Amino acid sequence: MRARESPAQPAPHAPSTRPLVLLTTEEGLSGEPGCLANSLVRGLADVDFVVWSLGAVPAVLRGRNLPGNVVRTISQPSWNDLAGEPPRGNGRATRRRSRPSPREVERTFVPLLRTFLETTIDPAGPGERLAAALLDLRDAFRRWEPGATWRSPGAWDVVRDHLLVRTPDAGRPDVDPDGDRAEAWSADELPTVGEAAQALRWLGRLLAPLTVEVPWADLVHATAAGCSAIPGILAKVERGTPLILSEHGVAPRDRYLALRSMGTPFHLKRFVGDVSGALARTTYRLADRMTPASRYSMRWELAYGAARGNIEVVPPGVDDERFRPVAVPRSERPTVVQIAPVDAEHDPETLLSVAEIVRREIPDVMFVHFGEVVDQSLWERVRRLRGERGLEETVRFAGPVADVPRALALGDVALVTSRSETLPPPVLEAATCAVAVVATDTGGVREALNGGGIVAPVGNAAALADAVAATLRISPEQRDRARLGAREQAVSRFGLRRFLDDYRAQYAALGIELAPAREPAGAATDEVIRVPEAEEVIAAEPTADAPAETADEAPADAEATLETDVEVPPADSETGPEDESAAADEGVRDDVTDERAGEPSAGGGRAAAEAAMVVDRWLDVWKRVPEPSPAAEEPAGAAADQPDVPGHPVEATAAADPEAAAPEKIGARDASVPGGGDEAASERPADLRSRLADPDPLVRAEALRDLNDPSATDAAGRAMADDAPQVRLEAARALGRLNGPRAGRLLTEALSADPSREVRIEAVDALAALLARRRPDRTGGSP
Amino acid sequence: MTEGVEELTLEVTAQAGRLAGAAEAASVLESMGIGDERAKTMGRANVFRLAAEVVEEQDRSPAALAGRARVEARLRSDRVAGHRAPGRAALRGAAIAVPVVASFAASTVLTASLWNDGPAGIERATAIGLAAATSLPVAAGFVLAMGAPGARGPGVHGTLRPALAGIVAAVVSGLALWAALSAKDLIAPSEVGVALGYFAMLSALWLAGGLAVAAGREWWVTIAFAGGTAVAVVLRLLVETSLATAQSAGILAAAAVALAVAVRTARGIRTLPRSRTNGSRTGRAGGPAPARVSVRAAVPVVLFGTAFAALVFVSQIATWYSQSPPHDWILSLRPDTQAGWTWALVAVLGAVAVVAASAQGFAGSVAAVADRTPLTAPGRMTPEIAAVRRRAIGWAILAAVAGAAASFVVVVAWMAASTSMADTVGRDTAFVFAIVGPGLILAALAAFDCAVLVTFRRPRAAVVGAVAGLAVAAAASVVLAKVAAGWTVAAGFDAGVVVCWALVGAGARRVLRAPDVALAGRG
Repeated sequence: MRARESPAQPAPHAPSTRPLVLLTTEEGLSGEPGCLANSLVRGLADVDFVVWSLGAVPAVLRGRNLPGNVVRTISQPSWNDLAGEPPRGNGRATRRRSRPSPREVERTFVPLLRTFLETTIDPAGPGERLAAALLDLRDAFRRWEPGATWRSPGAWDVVRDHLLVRTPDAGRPDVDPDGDRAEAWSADELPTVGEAAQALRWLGRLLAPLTVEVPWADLVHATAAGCSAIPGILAKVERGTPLILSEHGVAPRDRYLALRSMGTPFHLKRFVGDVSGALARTTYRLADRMTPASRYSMRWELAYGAARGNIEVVPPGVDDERFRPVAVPRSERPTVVQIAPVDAEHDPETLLSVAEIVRREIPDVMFVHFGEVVDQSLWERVRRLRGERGLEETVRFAGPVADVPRALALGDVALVTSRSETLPPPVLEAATCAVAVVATDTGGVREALNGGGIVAPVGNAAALADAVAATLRISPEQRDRARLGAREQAVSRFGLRRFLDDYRAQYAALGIELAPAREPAGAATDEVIRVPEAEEVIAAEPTADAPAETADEAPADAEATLETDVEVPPADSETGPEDESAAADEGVRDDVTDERAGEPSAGGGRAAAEAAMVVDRWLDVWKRVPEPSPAAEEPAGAAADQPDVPGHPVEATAAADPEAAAPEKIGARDASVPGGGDEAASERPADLRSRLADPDPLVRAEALRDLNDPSATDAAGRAMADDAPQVRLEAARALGRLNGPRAGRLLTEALSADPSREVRIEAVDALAALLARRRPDRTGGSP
Repeated sequence: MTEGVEELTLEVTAQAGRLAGAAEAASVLESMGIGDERAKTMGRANVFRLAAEVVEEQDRSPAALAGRARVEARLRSDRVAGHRAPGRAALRGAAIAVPVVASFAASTVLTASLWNDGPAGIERATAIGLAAATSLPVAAGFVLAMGAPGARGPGVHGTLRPALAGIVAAVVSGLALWAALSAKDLIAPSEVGVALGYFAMLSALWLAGGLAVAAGREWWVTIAFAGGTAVAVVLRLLVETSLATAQSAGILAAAAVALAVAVRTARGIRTLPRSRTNGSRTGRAGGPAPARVSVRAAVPVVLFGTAFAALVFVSQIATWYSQSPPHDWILSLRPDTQAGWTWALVAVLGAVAVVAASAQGFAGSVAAVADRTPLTAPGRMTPEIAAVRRRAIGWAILAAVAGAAASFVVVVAWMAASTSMADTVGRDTAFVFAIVGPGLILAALAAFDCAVLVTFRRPRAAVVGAVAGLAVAAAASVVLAKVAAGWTVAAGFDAGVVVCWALVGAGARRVLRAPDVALAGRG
């Protein structure tokens, strides 16, 4: 496991004004391999980087286009890479090392290793103590050849004793004097020699970063709180180098899921979990700043003891220049695209079930799956199931894809069936490419979609199928408008420029002053996935069956095209600051779908029905997203006649015309709306109060329906606590219409807490209308 | 504890077995689509609180205790089953033996004219024989190296890389042969080109065969050899081409088929993809190892294989030069003693196949035993592993005895049917057979112990044993060739093999005394 270094090294950081950042990445924990590293290195051209990768090398370091600001690279194998050799450290240091004698191992290394392992299981261990133990081990590996040290009998004794201490034998009364069942282990439950040997091997690989000298840097930027954070920990405690942690997933969580998918027995799982958990806790405690990619990840970090004050969510950046709507030859058949590897985590069997259900309603629907085969046995089972269900003409597996935007453009809907992911890249990419998204409610998906797509319970094929079918049912024109609305939101929330600006601010907070932001040059232009050769489409797939792997080779009957010259101005559709803080303070996510749609407890039928209902309501919301140019030119009163916006003319007009978003203009336009108008707007407060206090709920509801004055938001807010559901429903509508100062917060509370499903759904609608109104001015506003 | 938590605990247990803690429980719950919202509906503040209760419930509920015991037992049995070598031992042995038999048959058919035509082709036959003998150690080292851990990765690149190493080794050996032939008149100067050409072709054949075997296509190697033989026979007998042309065509055809099979298989094994997921990466098991890892793993195996192959040949070479005056028939060898060598090699072929098959499965057996042995009693591993070793040795000896008996019957029948065979096989043949046969059995056992050492990544004793054996065999053979009858030179081989077997066996036994430490020391 000797570290590989770039040919250019040693490349000492020349004394200059350019800051030097040590960026560490780790396969399996840093999100799509190197995604964040790629964006940062290419986007922050005025920063020099040393990139240290464990496992898959980030895309930025592959190929011949290594950016000039990468002054050095270090790469080491992943912790569970079985093909790797024991750690040996890097070049020059290795030559200075010697093979330790058994006596040296016994007297020096064994106590250090024992201390480290004890620290991992001591609740007070993570933090300074564990960091000190890591420093001691690092010093040991400066003297001795790591491979020989790990292979020594002394190291084996330590790991064996550690596992035995953790599993007191039921037959050893001295260890278990009280006979407490939970503390005693039967012979069948004890760890085995094989497991202990693997634990030792994995430990050597987990701590492999200790065998490489940590380069000097102005800042350490870790992208995972796993083994790759070790350099950051060492630099922090030894030199005081600031440490920033940007987790896409959550290291301990992802480690456990990886162990589960590997079929790891308990003792091994607990051993790796202990070490990983202790490393994560230590990283969380020592990091100066933490910027998780989602609030979902933040929850885990908080659960692992991170200080809330250090955490700020910085969503990942998607290159909206590359991921944008493109015109491709399209099939006339309604098409659903999925981009995911074939493995259990991404649940291709649910894809088949969804396809089977949707086909009953839409017989000519086509599902196209792009992705590599990771789990061969699962792949064979999926192919067999596809044949048994007669889905050969409906579901097609196209193998790996290089051009993701073009692959997404083949579909009317992008489907994500992942069982467990923190933030699936296809969700963000599809939204940015203006493709409608239907995804399972896992990790930060809801949070990422933020109403720009539909979520359904994990593994609930019926709910997913309802969502897909409902999305396919709407007219192409309506869908196109909805797609563009989703893209607008995605660009504003996940655009690369916003991402880089956020990190410039984070670096500045840690003393790394950078020049003002510039347009990223060719950011993330390197595709992470290689371009497959024509004959490399999944070998096991029948050639005649497989559709084209890239858009250029789309099915022959493809005719329809997507518009490529669509102008989508950057906009920010995020919830307003007050709503954001309110949601964060109360632990309520700001997604605006019906939370119960994500509950598997409701049972298949009920959950599906509820999901379908939410889908329908959401599709209504989408329909109201206006076409930018024609709507903007319409006369004010024409909006009321839009067939797509029954009962909600204001939202359409306001969204189409930013000028209309101003409260005074809203009032003016509402004057032409039947049921609204000058009479209601000019109603005296005393009359309003009396009507709202009327014992008849119909009168109260009627009063709310007539409300048009933003200053009456408080009255509508109070009405949200009314006992009558129809009054609360009208109050929610009024809040969405009035756009008052607390409307967002009140509606967010309602959609998560109101006992009436109808009210919650109305709150969804109203919140969407609110968001549409709060879009900034496209011409002069800043995002 | 609510009923909902009980049910949830059973579901989580079915998926994850015994939970390592609340964090694992939370990760499993979330992977089941159960988040904070569901936890709130169950009256818990969040999924972490719910997860903590699931862990407590798993320690408490009898149903969950039974469930997790079942899951853990299944996980362990899956691990043990995963160590099993593919295919049955007999089939693995046959897959190794048949290509060897096929190559023997091919050699017999292709050199039939030399046997029948007497001294007519002596110069060329000597050149061909020398080329074949030189190419074999290269091939032996290469094929053994292909079996070394980490030597080969998936995909075409994973195949090309060891192939490149083999080509480099063959070129170096070819240059050494050319230098030797230039420096000393071992063969007629006009036949140097022929010898080098044959060396290149045979090296290509062995390399291609090694790649195909490493790709798990042993039977295709058999087919390739049979096809090559058929091509040569057809060209020689029906088209009446020259012997060299027929042989060359046959060798190249066989090499082409084997190489095609290896490459085709390699293209079917895709490099494990870099997942586009957020993480949750499943375990990696078999990504291509870095070149230096392959080299590091292969060097001791190549050294052992080369020294071992040289050990087998050194006595035969000494036998060739023990004649006074030199025999003027095939390859300048004494046909009677050479027949004894050939007879012994054929007789122990079964034992070699058994040893090779056992060696292939040995690492898996050790891992399976380790996964069954409680950490509190690592000593239990020693008798189990020793039993595996004894079983392999027992079967190898049994196969050798059966091979000796069968080959004896065949030789007697052949002598009765063929006068030339009766003229060739004599008393010295029987002496050589009697001396070389046991030596070859010991050599096979030494090879098995080498596999044991390689399994535990302690190959040093194997290399030392092979080199020491080679030195002893060379010294003893040269002395015997000078002072004793030709057939006695075979005893030099035995002397070398005994030294090799003793050293390698001692190393293996030392490792097996503390197999847990050895297993951990594999790194």
